[in-house]
Amino acid sequence: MDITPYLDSFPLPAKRGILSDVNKEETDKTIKEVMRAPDKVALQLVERLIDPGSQGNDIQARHLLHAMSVRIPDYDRREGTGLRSKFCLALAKTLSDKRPDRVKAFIIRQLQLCGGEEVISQVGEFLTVPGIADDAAQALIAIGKKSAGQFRNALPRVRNDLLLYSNALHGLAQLADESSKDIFIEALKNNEDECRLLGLWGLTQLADVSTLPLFLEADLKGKGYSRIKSASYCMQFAEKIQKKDAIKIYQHLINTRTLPEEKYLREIAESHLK
Amino acid sequence: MRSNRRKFLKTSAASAASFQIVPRHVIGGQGHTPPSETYGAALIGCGGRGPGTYESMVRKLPATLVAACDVQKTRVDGYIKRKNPEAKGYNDFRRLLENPDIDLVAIATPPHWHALISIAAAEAGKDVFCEKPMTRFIAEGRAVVEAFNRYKRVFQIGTNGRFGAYKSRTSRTIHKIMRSGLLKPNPCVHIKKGGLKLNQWSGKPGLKPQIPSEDLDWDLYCGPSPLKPFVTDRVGGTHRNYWDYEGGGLCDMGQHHFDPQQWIYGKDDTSPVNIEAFAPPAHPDVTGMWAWVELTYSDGFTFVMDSAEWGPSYDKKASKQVSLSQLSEEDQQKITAMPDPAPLLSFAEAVKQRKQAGGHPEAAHRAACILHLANIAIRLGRKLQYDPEKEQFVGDDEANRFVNVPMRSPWHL
Repeated sequence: MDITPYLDSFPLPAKRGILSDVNKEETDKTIKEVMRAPDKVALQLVERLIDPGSQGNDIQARHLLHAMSVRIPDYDRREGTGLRSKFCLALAKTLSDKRPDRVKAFIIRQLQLCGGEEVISQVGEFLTVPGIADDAAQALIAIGKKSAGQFRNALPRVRNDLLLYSNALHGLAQLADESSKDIFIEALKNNEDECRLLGLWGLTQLADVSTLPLFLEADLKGKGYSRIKSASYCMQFAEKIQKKDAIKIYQHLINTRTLPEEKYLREIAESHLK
Repeated sequence: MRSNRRKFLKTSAASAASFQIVPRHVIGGQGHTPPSETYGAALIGCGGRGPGTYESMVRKLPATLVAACDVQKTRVDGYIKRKNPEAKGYNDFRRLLENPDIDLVAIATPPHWHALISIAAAEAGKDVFCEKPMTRFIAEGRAVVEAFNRYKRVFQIGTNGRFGAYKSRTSRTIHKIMRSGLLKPNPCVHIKKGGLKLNQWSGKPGLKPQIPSEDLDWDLYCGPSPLKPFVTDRVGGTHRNYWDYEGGGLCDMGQHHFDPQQWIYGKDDTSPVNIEAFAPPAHPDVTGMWAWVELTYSDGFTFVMDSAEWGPSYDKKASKQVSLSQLSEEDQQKITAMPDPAPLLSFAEAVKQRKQAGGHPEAAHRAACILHLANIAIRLGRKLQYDPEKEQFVGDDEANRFVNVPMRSPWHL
């Protein structure tokens, strides 16, 4: 299959370097045609992607691959032929080949838009790879709760790398992963403020009252912005639970936010006790 | 005003040396506000619109610049030098928000930071004046609304059109007709033709990575957005051309155009339910061409954006104004008997009275939603159905991935 005509239907920068010379009819027609074999077209497009810093340009290839990624779910819903899954699997397979990191990151970003359960293990591999772990985490979060296992699996492998560890912890908290209660509790003991706050956020997301004593104990460890953020987690936790338990949190805030500049927090907490 | 007075001002007033550099109104005296009623103010994002946003915030408020922040050190240093050399400079907004001398925060960063900094400022007990557009995606707006409700702080979006709209008797009458629900189904159409700076704020794809200047914290600049290789166009005014930070001229100018119209047409608490765009496929990184977007509310009322810069003009429906003559005589009398809507408070009035400002979070969020819904329809190339209560697209999981875009660790809503 020669994809050159498809690529040529997509614009190159015109005046002032912007994509103003674009023909909607032609590009729409191309997308319709490539949907006949999206997996095969995807593989060829990936071969044309280049590292952003290298010679040449891949503007049309990126544009067409992205157009396919955003439109294929709708084609799939209308035609019901598993197009989306085929396309995503083909894209995910290219991640195991030798390619520049920024190319892999771009492919992962397309899976963020259209990927499903079928690609989570391939994307999850990148949670331990510096420089791409962010992209992988955000793609997995977009795919949803079924991705949580990938973050849990990655954690032991990234324990000694603060950025990768907090990235995985962040993913679990964002997904409100019920199986990660102990992981969040462990994070409360972390000496790094960032990890401790992510642990507090994870527990806030779960709003499990049994964790409240440890949660409130860890709340006291922060200073400055951490103390401010932690108070916010306290209030959000309180909003999610029954009033009899929430009262404990508001009382905790009244007892602990005693600085003059924390008066507004005491007032809010007090208003919930009336 | 909060009861705890600002330490900065206390020490300034107590120091003879400080009198020479502290503005007259801070010191007090005949015709000037005494220091005990002066607000400590801060600016986050000192380039571009920053200084103007700060001045809009402190208009009609006795305020002193206490602190400023920018991820680019030369910018914050330059601003402080010009505005108040006594003010403290920061590169990280989190450190600025720890400063208890600050009551008011003006936010003029690129929009990918607006929601997170607004929320953090509310959590720190500050009132916020935030540059438009309010957010980068829909879920951010809801989180801002919740935070300001939780902390009972004042928020005002940086656009003033709705205050002018309120002054117009015709606009107030339209507002009353729309809020009454008597015009149902609503056949009216408001078309905004041009003014959305399509060509001006379209991006240049394929620019080669560069090395950022030493005084720019590129990682913090990107913040919740993907950490991409640095390109000069990604900072400064051209940040508007990247989906990572804004949403082109449509987002940049849209809140100015649609915020007042949203108030006039009584839609501050809801969003369109059907959205259709005429646009070619969008590029993954940069904003580009589109012809028109049609957004219809559940009562039938329609907003249209016609770029007038690319593609065919919108011709599905003609413009149709809401008027009393569309109602029965009995209903017209009901409208005439209705009291005018409550006046919209300016930021200054809201801060002094501890009440909600005219451009409050829910209204600003709903206005930003109009822009985000339009851009999502442009980017996805399909008709969309939206549930304004759940703030989710109906039957389109992938479209919902544009409603709540995952953020880079450690940032989150």
